[in-house]
Amino acid sequence: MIEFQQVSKVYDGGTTAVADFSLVVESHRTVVLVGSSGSGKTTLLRMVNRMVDPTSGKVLIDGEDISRSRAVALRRSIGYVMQQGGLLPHRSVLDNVATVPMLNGVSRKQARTAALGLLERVGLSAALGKRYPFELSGGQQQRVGVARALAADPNILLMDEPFGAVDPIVRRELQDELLRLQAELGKTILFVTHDVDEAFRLADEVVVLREHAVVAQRGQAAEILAEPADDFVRTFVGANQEGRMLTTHQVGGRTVAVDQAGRPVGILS
Amino acid sequence: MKWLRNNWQEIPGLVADHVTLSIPAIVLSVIIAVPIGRLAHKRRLIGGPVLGIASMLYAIPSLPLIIAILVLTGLSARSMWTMTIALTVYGVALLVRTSADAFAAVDKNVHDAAVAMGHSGTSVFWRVDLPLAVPVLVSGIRVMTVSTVSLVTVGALVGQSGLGWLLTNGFQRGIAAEVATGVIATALLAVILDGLVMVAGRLLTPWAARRHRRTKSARVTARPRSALA
Ligand SMILES: Nc1ncnc2c1ncn2[C@@H]1O[C@H](COP(=O)(O)OP(=O)(O)OP(=O)(O)O)[C@@H](O)[C@H]1O
Ligand SMILES: [Mg+2]
Repeated sequence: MIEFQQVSKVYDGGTTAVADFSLVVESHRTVVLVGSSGSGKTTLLRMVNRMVDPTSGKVLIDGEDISRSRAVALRRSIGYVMQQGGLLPHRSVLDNVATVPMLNGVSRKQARTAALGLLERVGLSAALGKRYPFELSGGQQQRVGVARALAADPNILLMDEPFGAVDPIVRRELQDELLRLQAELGKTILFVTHDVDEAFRLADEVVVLREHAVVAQRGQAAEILAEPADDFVRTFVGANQEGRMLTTHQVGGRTVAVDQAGRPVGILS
Repeated sequence: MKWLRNNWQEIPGLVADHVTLSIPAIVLSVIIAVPIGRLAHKRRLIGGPVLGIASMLYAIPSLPLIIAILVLTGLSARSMWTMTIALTVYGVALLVRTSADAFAAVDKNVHDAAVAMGHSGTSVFWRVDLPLAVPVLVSGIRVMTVSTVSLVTVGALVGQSGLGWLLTNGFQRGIAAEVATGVIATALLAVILDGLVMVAGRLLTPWAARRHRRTKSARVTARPRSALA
């Protein structure tokens, strides 16, 4: 369980990134922070592994104030996936995945064997292990990023727009893969995106942020779509956009859903 | 050429002396400049002045610098250390800026990812920042190596052995062939040491070579396609 207790962050230059933010992320759940650029999402995520220390307030993991833990040890116990380019370019794919276990003292051989298993787990062939990251496609790189984050078998996964830089089709595949993995592994996931569709697909709970990480609304995707708290949320989630406003028609005894442009998009069962 | 035929036996000894003066200064410059460059990159506030001072040091003419070293350290002009210190001052001055640039060129995302994985401060430096800075560092070390090899010739003016002796002696006695030999031998030595540094850099960064080849071959395969279009 991750608990933000009234955290704020003012950076050295005087920028307020986060103002009085509180949130509880229950264990084994996926909470997605969604907000526009600069709303403080990365700052919040990095407070959990102490890459950013809050100016005020506390972050607790399983009830313990993390400011009292050793930052390096804490980070090794938390998986972190970043947007792109987060892989070490000078280490092979296999070594990238094996790094954290090796930092934790696992032998190189053992860590590499485990890494091979992890590559498979995220849908990559073992043969890719020998390559350098720049010899992979963007989608493959992100899979490696996920494998690496899972390598130390952490309870918590922090994911900062992990699929933001790949094309929509690959993004969709990666999202499915994450859902499948999460069903097997049951990690506590804090996921950041500015893609509302992605948030709705992945989240047990969605937190919509406005500037300074002020919570505009939180709840299940359906709740937010059905009852946006205000105009900001309504516009942000596109609740009044073409693709989201569906009407139904009866065709041959079945109910067909049609979007505002009149295109049939599905059938209600 | 008659001069060369009669005096070639002298050259290996002079080359050896030249190398003996060059190598310690090159190594010391790397050892001193890289940490300073890293500091200048990390702490911007002191970084600016540090880089400024470095450029100024390189602008000091060599004879006054050597004399200043003699006065400050009390070493004798014939001591190898006099030259080593002078060469190291220039080497550091030349390499500090490139070192700062080399660390600045390390992808911030990669550095952050390494921290997020749980590398300690020192292990981020040794395992991530430093290896990734190597390609740019090597380019700086190559320039510094060539500069050092040519500066060693100045040592002849204060009585240090090396290829510079061919220049001063040849000039005093009016033997053009001797001067030419000195110039060519110094240039060759610089090219050889430069090549060695380059090869060492390649060996240290097999990944960079593969990335380089990859972008090159990508360009080559792109060509026929554009020719068709
Ligand atoms: N290290 C830093 N120093 C100073 N200001 C910073 C720093 N990091 C972030 N900020 C500022 O804090 C605010 C929030 O930044 P943050 O990176 O948390 O936003 P974000 O929601 O992740 O944005 P994006 O979607 O673009 O990644 C921004 O105004 C940003 O400019
Ligand atoms: Mg961000």
